[in-house]
Amino acid sequence: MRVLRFRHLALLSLLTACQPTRSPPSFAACQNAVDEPSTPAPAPLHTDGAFFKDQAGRVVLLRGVNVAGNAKVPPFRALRSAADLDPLPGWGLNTLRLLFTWEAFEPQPCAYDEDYLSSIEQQVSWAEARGLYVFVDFHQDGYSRFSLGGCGEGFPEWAVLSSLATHAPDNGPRCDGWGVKLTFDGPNLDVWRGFHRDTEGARTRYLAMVGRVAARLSKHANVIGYELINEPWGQTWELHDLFEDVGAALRAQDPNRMLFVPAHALGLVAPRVSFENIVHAPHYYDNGVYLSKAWAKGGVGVALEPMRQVSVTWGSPMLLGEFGANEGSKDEAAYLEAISTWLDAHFVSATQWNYTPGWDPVAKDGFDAEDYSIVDDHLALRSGLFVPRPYPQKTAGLPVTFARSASGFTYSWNHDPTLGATEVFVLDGQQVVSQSGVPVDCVRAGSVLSCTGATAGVATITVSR
Amino acid sequence: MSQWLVLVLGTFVQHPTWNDRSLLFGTPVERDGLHLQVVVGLGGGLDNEGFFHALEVGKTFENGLTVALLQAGVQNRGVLGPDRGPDFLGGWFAELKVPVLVPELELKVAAGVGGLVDEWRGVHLIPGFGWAYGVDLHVPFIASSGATLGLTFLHALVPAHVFTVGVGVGYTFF
Repeated sequence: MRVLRFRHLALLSLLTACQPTRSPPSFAACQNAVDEPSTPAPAPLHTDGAFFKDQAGRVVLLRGVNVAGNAKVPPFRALRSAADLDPLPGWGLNTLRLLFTWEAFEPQPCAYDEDYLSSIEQQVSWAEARGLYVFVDFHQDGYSRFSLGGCGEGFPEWAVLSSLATHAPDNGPRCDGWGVKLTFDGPNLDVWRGFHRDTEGARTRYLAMVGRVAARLSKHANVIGYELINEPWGQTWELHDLFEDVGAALRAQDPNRMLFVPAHALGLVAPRVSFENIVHAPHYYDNGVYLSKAWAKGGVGVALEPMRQVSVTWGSPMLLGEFGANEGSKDEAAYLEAISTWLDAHFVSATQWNYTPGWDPVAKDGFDAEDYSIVDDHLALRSGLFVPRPYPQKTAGLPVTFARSASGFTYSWNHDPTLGATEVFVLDGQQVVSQSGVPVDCVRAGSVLSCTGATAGVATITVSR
Repeated sequence: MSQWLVLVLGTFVQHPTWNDRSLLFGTPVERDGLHLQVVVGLGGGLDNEGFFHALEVGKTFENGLTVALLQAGVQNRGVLGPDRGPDFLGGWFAELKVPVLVPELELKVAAGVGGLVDEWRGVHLIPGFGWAYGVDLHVPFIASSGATLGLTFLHALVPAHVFTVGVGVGYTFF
């Protein structure tokens, strides 16, 4: 049958006449790529059932942002200086989901750009100096800037199957609505199929890459973990196999950091990986807000609760890795408030998409005409996209209920005096107006309300302006 | 628009009561009752190439229309080469066939469950929506059956769009 070549048939050869003719990547240079020895610092956080806990055993709630929208495209640098991070603690944010772009680190097979990794490390250090946790997000959308008609990002050009056509990177206004294009893109299926099967070695190189990154970043005390890959495609069993392999590569270099396990780009959930100390890290974008920039004023809990149930099944915390709204979406503030209210009520951590200090009025976030940044080019909050909200950052004991109102909040927790202080982020002018349950002494220092008490039991504080 | 459609169909669609003989070969043609067809050949698209097959079972009515269940697909993995694209693309479709121009030339349209089969490390179905269309040219050896040359365009949304074209030869009971 091998002599009966399809392309020899005149009629159907028309369909294959335009096949790309690139050569598969060569990995000859890989023999010179020396792995760095890993010297991990103690992990600042770990999982315990549905919660994150710090080294003292306090429950930690993560509120953060993705950094940054323009990190997906050249020059792949999210932060311009340390000062770019200055506003975040004052808004109560304690976590960065820091985007890492494979293309920037390994533009040619095994030819690592150490300057890029150093720039990532620099940003981690800047965050550390401001008390911010970081988890590294190995990011891609639509596989590569050279696929999805030039509208994707993430993987190097050489990782695109040689049998597929590549496209000149665009990532401009023509790529607006890239998510819809991605959903219906046939070559996207092909390129991910090839990746999962390691047809041309890209998957093997990905595993080597994440291990190398972990070896470098594990020495930083504020790195809490690694997200295995952003919004991947493939069958759930393919994703499961990939997650197992990526997790093993990361754990080989950094055994104690958490692994953030994503969902499929379309929201499908792969079976639980075999590791412990993992975090369920799905994303949520309301279809109406995404497609038509209008919120139908409902559906948040309906969408998020099944995600939380997955976390319950896994015995892990949930972190909503991405949510947000394109600027100008109808009822965007109410939409984001609804999400935040649900997160607070269920003690679910989250990182909003996105914080882009390099935002500008023309290029917006800098990627595919997206305009999600919570700040403008002067680092001022953009109306409707983010407001600081109080929340319990660290709880000495287990959270019971947290309910916000227009002027304040009421927080109850099962106080464990052996764990130290419960720390709550509060807004200007907010103070404790009433207490019940076991007695606690709350002292405000800056924007943190620190509560201690000698008696174990449920404590409740009501805070208002 | 509908008027144009009626005009086109009225001009080209053949009614078996108008022509009970093959206009190409001059042999008698009987088109009614049980409809069966088997076609095999080669298929391919921009990212696939492989073995094509199409199976039909249905009924041909006295007015010349055929309603059938069509099962068609292209097996790419391990058949020709190189291995790329979906391992298998195909589906199960409800099909409508109508003779045009001459009794032995049929247009066909079909829609139903289309999708892919992933054959790497087991067999995994990837279902979606599918549709197909094409033409069959019959050579009526005898009045109620004959050899067939078929051209079939197959599409599936999973939700990405995948596409292949199959050409094949087979046999049909009209």
